[in-house]
Amino acid sequence: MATKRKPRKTRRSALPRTLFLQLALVCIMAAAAYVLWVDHQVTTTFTGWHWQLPARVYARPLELYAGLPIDRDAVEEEILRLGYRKVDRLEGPGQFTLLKDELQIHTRGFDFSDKQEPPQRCRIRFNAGVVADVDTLPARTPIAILRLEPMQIARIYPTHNEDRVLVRLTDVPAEMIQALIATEDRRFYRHIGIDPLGIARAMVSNIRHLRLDQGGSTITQQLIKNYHLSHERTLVRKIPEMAMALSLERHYTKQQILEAYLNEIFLGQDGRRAIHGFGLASEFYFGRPLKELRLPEMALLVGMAKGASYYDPRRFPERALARRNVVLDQMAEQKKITAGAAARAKAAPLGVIAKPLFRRTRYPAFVDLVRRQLRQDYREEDLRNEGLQIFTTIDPRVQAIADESVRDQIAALEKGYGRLKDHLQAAMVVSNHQTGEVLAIVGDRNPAYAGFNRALDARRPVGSLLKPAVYLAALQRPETYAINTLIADEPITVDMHGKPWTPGNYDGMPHGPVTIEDALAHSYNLATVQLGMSLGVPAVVAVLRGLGIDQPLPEYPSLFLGAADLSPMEIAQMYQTIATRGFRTPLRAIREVLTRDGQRLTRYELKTTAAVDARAAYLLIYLLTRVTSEGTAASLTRWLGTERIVAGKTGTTNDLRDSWFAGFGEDLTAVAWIGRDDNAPIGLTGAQGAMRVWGQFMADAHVRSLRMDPPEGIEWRWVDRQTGAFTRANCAGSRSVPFISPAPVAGTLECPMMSFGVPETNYAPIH
Amino acid sequence: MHQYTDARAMRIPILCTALFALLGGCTTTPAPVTEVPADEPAMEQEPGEGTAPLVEPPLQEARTYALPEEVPPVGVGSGEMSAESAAPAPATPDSDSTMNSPAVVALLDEAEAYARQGDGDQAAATIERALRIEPKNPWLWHRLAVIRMQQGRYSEAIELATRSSSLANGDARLLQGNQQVIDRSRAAMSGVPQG
Repeated sequence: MATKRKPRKTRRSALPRTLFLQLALVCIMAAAAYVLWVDHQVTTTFTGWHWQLPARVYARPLELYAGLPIDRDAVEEEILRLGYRKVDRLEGPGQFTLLKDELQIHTRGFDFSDKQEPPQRCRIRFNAGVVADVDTLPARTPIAILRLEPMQIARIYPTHNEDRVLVRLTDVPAEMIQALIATEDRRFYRHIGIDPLGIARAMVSNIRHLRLDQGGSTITQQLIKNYHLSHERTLVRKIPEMAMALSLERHYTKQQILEAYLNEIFLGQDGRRAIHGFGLASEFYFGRPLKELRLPEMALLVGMAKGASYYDPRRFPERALARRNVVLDQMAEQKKITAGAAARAKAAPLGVIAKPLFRRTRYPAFVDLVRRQLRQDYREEDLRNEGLQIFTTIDPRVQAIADESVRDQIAALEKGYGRLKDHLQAAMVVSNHQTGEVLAIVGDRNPAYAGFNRALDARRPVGSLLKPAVYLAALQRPETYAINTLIADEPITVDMHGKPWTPGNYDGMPHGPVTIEDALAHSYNLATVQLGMSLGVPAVVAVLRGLGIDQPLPEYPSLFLGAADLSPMEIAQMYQTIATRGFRTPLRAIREVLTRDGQRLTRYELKTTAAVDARAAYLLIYLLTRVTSEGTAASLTRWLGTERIVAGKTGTTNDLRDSWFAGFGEDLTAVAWIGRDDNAPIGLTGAQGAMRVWGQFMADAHVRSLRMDPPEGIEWRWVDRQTGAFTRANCAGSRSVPFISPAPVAGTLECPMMSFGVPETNYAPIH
Repeated sequence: MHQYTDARAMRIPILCTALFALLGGCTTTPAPVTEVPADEPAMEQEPGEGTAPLVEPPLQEARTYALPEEVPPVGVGSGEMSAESAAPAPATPDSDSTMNSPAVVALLDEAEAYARQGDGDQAAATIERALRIEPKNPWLWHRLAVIRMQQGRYSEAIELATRSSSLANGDARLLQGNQQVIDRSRAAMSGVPQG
């Protein structure tokens, strides 16, 4: 900032005129250079006003349509999270009213990438927990599908932690601009960047009140001061500031300067985050967009421009109120509002919400997943600065239920097992398996905690969760294996690279010949290893690969019993593929990424691959419904009753270190894990720990009952449930089970006597 | 060149047929093929393939897929069978109510509009929205398969058509339509010059 002024030297003696002229020329040139330099500064700094904007991360938008299973209270909860205000009569966007079985809402509208949802008044009627219809008010035009704006769940900040929500001048209420001009710079539209009259008035005021609080700075000057992040009030700073103000006014219109000011001005601090601009301040202090503010609220924000920390309405409400009223008085004095309006506004409370709706990342574990997926496609600096809009798949309702299930069940477990207190950890992953969208992630027993994300990073032995892969490998060979095939639950010793390995059952007992159905339902280790050995490790690994496990796997027979370290996320991928009857759909946490202007950059599309034979997958799902109806997870009925069909599998690891449960209903797949970070035993089986979390979650999320309509190529046969022998229809102790066509030719089809003889024809080969 | 425009003109009826197949029972008149001008921009062309309509189910029947399917002979999850009790059908009361909802029909309309403008990506995104509502609606998967095929994304088209068929519950016309997507995609893939 080199300013060159040497006027005194020239007056010292009677030097020849030429010298004086030369020196004058130097002065003029120096001044011109200074002006050019300032001009350059202004044009380069402000050109395009390309603000660095944090990326905004959104949850999935709630889409309401006739037939959607959701009740009025759940919708109310959702729109309260969006900052809608409950009122008696709808008067503008951002409001709603409640009636019996009915919710009326004036939506805000939102620019989605495919189309703009307009702000509109609508009515949503409910009937027995289902949306009955959606239509407009007052015309009652049916709305096929009403999409609300998505909730913001995170922002990815520029490195200097400046946060703002850009507003266009046209989005700012006229009263707000009048309030600003009346208070800060009443001659704004008439001056040229600096306002000598304003300065004079300020000096008079300062002298009269014997203090230095009136600066007489124009809005233009304040903008420059703010932009350069310097708040010192010295006269030395004033000179370049004035020069830049003059330059700025030459290059930009009043409208542009005003808009920049509205977006730049510092209006508060939230931890490390600096609140810039009126758009964000409106959300930060009132939980609503600028457009929805009322007069006293606008006046408060305008008043805060003078000193956001000093007039912080949360910390110093009296000061803030007094300042707001000064603004209102100024407006009335300058005839911008009537005295009556000012009086009414002055009588209003501050109206500031206690806590901002959006403060910090709401769902740290989910956002962590989003950031990892983004990092594959975007540079960190673009994520931080370009104001990208990131639309994710998280369902805040499902996430809330998952959080609560983890919290409740951990608390209940620690109550029952006092010695474990505060040591249990948990993780959960929930997805919509049909679309592959991740709906919720819990990475810690305290879901608000942003730290080690166990759902993604805790790779632990998964125990019996891998057993379904062994059985699927068998069922893919229908010429050899079927649901009623008997396998030997007998002791076995396997060579593991020179070392003998002798697995045992959980209850320590062999169970003799058991059907495949019983072996998986009761999670018998010996039978599983026997079966796995006859199939071979590579066959099981191939199935796991098909199901979507991409991680390296230890290719030993111990794999049959889950000797592989996997994360809940990876298990979710595996079970999701089973749930879709063998169609692998990669788990996705992001739908699309748009620029700040709504241009689409990336879409993360729905893709699917047929990975497993649908008939074999169907048989496996059938087996997994047996696990939950009469096997190791039979106690799920405590949460889900007996009518609802779900499929799932418990997982328990050596010395009870990890408790797992994975499974699905018609619409949701979920995986839950409970264990300890130090890997110490927790004394819980899969059914005693993680299954409880899973059960509460599925019940509260109203998981839909599995539809067991079979795919093409499935036949049904009656078999005795103990021996697996084919029987006549409706024999006591028998049931109809699915087979891949052509099903084996049945034998004599007698009802079995009360004997448990083993029909040899149906004994699987054990090598 | 002549062949090119010809093929393009024929693509519109295909789209329309698919649309009306999808719309199912919400219309009772035949697909107004003539409504769409032949020079309307269609979606990206795939090289050398036939112009046979992919799916032309009679309109009344197109809807029948949405009716409750036959239940398995035995109620899964209802416990073991005794000789006395006949197998009750498993209760799945909530799954049929959302099939073919007006919301899905509206989204299909939108998807068709994007497809007609040649915006396959947006059409696919809209079908995905519908799939979130009715994830097991095989017509939606079929429609997505057709879009991907028209975008020249053949291997994806084949997988999507396979998934549609797996949900088709024996609907012959749908199975046939999916088979055509698969055959044509395979043909196009093998017809692509190497290197």
